[in-house]
Amino acid sequence: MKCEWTDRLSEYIDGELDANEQRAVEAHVEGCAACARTADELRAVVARARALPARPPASDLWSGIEARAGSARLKPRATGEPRATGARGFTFAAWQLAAAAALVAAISGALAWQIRGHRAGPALTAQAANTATIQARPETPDADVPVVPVSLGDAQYDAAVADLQRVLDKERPRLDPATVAVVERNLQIIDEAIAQAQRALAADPANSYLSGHLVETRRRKLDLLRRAAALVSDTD
Amino acid sequence: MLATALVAVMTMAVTHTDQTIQVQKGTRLEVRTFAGDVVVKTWDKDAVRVQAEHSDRETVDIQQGDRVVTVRSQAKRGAPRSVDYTLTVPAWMPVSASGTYMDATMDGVGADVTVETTRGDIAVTGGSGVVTLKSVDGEIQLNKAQGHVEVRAVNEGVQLADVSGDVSVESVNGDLTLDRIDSANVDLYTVNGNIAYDGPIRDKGVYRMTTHNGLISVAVAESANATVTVRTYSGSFKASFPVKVDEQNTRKRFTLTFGNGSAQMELESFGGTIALRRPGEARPGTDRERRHHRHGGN
Repeated sequence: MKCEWTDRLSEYIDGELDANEQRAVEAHVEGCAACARTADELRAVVARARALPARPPASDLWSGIEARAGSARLKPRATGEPRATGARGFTFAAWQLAAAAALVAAISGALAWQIRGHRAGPALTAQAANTATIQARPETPDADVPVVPVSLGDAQYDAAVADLQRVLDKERPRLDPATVAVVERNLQIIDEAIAQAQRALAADPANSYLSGHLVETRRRKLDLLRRAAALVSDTD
Repeated sequence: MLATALVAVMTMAVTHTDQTIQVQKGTRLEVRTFAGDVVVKTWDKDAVRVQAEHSDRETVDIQQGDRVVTVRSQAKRGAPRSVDYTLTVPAWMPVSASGTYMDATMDGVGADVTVETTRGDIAVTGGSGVVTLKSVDGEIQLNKAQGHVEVRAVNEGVQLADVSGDVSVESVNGDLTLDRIDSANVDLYTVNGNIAYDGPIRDKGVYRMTTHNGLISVAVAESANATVTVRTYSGSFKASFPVKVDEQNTRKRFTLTFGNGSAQMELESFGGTIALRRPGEARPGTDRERRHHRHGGN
């Protein structure tokens, strides 16, 4: 079962809610065993993620963070290997998805830090008057900054996507076919965007914009899968 | 077969629920339904009126707990059916509504608003504090809200107007259209849609707009102090005012500085056009619109 506050637990853990909401979630968690459990699990994930050393991410982002976070549930299982939690796939989806979301957030945040840190162009020597012609200045050439390339064959990302896809596939009969069609159409749109970004990055591997765009687009795919899988639990 | 269906409908009695309960300030309303319309209006009484139309196979359960009023519909037997609600609440009351096939319309709520539906449209006028609207397959409209606004669509577009505060809006396959937004913190993202933004650019504000395939159209006032970063891969850039772009800059990534450059604005479209204009100027037509008009569409 999904509570009203389930989707806000991550913000609650991070202290990102306003005071009223923070109190409301706190009160709810005290009386809701499921949310209390999820909150504990999220705290554990966040604590592990925070234990990561503060350094620019290596190219193999997923495996590094996954190893430190110890999120064994995100590892691809061998064929026939039983799921580690719960009798029903969707009962652990919340944790699994929360863990995936936390990892994605950590990775996205790290990469955003990396990319944004390099995005700033050189200090401008002159300011253009608003009423005059505005001078466009090229961003700092990528060659001037230590861009860390994004791995195109990111095994951990693929594993997370595959895990969520398995949840969806397994629970597909429980969802409205029209809803499934909408989700699949939009996943297809994102996949096409990812493929285009990958092709562009293959042609221009040092392009920091493309690296960031690819990461962002892949994160959106995980977000949509997570949201779709949450629909399954909503039908419970 | 049609006759059978008609008989079935005719024999299904429509039941009206109409109940009013007194509430104290600080109480919130939670509505959970499977399908149907949820209409929320406000009045100046400290009371919640629940009006519902439903089949006699459904019951409407109204519970008053500690600082919360919950309204739920439940099937007495068989699959859940549609229930149409009209709820009248005090303007100070936070409202939360969720459903699978739910269309939600709210007007005048002066507190937190949360709406989540799988297949359905959301139209909210008002909302103050935290406003969260989500629909997988439906349009979302939000007007006259303030506070922290988070809107998540997937397959349809989002329209915001006269909204102030932090704004985060995303879709996958829909356009994002924002008019008269007063915000220093904006994050807009769509994969396959266009983005149109119109509102003052606040000093030290952060504005991020990203699309993969779409057009980004942003109004930048002459008085704005902003550093605008433009990034595209196979798209293009244009402005309705003079901008000198280095033709040798084949990477299509550059910054423009307006005034003292205080605000940070990032505009990214992998394959679409990024267009700047002055407030009040017409938005550039999208390729999609131009094709539509060329083929005689209305």
